[in-house]
Amino acid sequence: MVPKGVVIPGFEQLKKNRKLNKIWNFRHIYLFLLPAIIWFLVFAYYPMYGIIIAFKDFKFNLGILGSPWEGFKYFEQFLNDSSFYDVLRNTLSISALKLIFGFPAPLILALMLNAVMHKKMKRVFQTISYLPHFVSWVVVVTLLQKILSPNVGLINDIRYQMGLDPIFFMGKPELFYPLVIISDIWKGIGWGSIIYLAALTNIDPHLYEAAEIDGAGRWSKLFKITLPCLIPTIGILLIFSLSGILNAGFDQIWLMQSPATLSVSEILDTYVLKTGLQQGQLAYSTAIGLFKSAISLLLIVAVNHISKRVSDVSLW
Amino acid sequence: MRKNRRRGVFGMTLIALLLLVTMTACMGSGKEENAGTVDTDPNESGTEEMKPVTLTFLSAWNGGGASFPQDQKNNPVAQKIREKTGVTLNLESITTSEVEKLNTIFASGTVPDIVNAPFWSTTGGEGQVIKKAAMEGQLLDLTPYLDKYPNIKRLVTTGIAKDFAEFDLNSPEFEGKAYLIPTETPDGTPESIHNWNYGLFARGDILKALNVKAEDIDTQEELYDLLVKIKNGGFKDIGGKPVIPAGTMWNGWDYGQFLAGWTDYTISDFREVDGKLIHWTQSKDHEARLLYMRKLLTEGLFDLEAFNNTSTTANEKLTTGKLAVFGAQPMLADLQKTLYKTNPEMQYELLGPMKNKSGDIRTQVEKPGRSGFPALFLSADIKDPDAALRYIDYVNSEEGRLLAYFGIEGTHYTMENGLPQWNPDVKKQFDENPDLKRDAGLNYLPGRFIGAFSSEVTWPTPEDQKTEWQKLEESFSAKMPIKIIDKVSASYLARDWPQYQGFRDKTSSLNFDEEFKKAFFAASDEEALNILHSVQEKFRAAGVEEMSEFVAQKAAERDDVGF
Repeated sequence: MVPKGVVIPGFEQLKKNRKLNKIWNFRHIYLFLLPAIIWFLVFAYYPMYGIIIAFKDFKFNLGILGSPWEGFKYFEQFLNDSSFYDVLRNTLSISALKLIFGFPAPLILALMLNAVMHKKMKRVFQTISYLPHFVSWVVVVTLLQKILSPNVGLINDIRYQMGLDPIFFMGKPELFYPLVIISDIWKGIGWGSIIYLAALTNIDPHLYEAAEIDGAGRWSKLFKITLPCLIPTIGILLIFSLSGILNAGFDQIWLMQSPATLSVSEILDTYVLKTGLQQGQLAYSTAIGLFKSAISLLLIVAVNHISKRVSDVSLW
Repeated sequence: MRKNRRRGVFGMTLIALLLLVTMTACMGSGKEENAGTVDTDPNESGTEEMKPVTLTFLSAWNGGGASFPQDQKNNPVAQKIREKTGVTLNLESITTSEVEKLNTIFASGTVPDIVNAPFWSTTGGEGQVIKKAAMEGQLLDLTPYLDKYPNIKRLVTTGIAKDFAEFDLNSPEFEGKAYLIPTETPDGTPESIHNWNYGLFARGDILKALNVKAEDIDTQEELYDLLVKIKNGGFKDIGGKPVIPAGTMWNGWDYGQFLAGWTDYTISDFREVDGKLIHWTQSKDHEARLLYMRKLLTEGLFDLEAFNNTSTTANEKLTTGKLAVFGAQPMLADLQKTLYKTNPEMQYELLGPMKNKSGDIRTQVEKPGRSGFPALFLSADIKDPDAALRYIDYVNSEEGRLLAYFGIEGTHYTMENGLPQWNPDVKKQFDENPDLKRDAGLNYLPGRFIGAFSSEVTWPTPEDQKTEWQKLEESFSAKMPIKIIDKVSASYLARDWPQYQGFRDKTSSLNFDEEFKKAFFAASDEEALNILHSVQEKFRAAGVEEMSEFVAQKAAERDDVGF
């Protein structure tokens, strides 16, 4: 340990060399990162230069770099678009609801699973809760449609047998958000709980033993030990979630959307697809996408900064 | 130490393997399988030898792959074409939106060698994208090739409405270049214009049970009364579940048939109302249309899921007799091998034809040629344009058309008195199982490669050889004859309006039909009308009234304009 303020010539260089040596010693493990790095470079970073068409009048023949510049024309167009407020409101509403109801759900499941003493039973529950994560949204939404269909759906079949009129669940704007949130939680709760379960195993069992000796009950242990120990994990996940607040979930919303629910279901991502690929306004839709990404970046920086100040939990 | 080294070697091997697998998965083989034999003798013109060429073809039509044979390369028709032209096609199709696919291939520079796509206009939808791509160098200019391929030259000049040819197909902005080859166009005679028989079709057994004659239902009120009777009649589909009184095929196609009472059979975007010209978006009739649809939906008379139907769900409803009345084409290709086989008593009957408020029956309006059609174009990057054009030219020759429609002489048909006649065994097989006809390669060429032609005009089927389904289609056509208007569409005059481009920019992200459908499901009639009025107001704000005045003025200056 070098005392503060003391400068040893060549020390920094030595430190760097040690780091490089360490990397070299574990080179075969670092190499495992290579496919992921290549994937990011090829599919995430390389195509990113395409965002400049948000500032260009994109021509097929001139390509991304050759098309003439248009400045902030498309951003202005979006801000003056008659759909702007509706789209932004819907995006924020769905994201906020997902955050309020969807964010704590995996934590609650993890705590519940953690409380199951029977090991086999715990594994069975865990596996069952993971499974929906591997089912694609196409299948999930088709299932929902089949169950809730006014014509051949299970629920409406039961209503029909009871002499009741069918309800078009998927077409009621007031039911759209609950269906989005419930299906999102159903699909993601098991998978989301893995990180919390891992964090729970890291809590020192001595803390619980000491608490028991002091006479702490289940709830006391939960609020005084478990949750405080999970705070760093919760904090990091919350930062990630807030940065993605404008990602309301394209696949799910696109598949669940219908003319009947359009007033509450048109979000930034679906609007980008419609203006870009359906109406051919590629530069305009890129501007909308960039607008979304810029706000997300601002959010992640701001939330990280606040979190660092308030709780010492931060991404960097 | 040795153990560590062994571990390191093992790790490196694993990584190398992983990378290899990843990279192999990312790369195509790049090689084409041997597509078969090619007749390398001098071709009919005796001048050049043909090298075997494999080209990619995209049918940019949602569900367009349904007509593709299972064996794309070695079905009898594809083999014969390969012998004659040296060309093998890799067929590709889509099950998504056409305009999305077109935008994707043009923006990413992955245009297949040959594409067939909808080309209804150059001011919207797919046609607008194709025009932009043509002007921005993505499509091959065919002008230098046309004289070499007489059949293609015939396609670009025959069976096309004069105004459409002048302003869309050969848009002045193309500056004399030709990019598109029309297909599915008539041969220039009125008889060869295809009647699509759009209308409302009701299940025959239900009409019988209600003692209603199909032809008596021709007004909106009568239609509503019929749907109420169906709803209260407790009718069932083939699975014993209640029927849906009314519905459509995928994505609400074609709910407009339920609103035929307010349909004007015209050729332009403008309507003459009380001596004034208005744009179609401003029609007062939209209110009545909207409220009528809302009435059907709220009273449980119309399929609530009609506007979300995928082709699969729509087909399921259709072929199980779930829809008591549907609006679209007669859908005989789907029904003849399913519902009409298992439950012939359910055979759908054409209602009406429906009349509009002027008393005109539902009809298909055409100009002497077609205004909008499926069109072929070639990628500007195509390596061997002559191969593609040779293929298209050949299938549009007399020999090629016989091959495309009837297959191999001797195997599938014989010529009698200059007319092809199906071999009876083959015909029986094809009638019983239409998929066999598809797999013989007899379905994929007519709609997507052949134009300026009508098989029914060239090779009329003798009355005694027509299938019951052909006769049924013809009976519908007889009830809804095509109406021909030999005028220039007033829509083209709007393009000279000085603010036209500004109007187009302002309305480019407005989707009237989407807003209209949204209004069907609004909480109240008042809210629904507000949605309608709001979108109408947006069109007014973009200058639609000034544009109509301009068009009216220009139309008054000539006598060949139709609305």
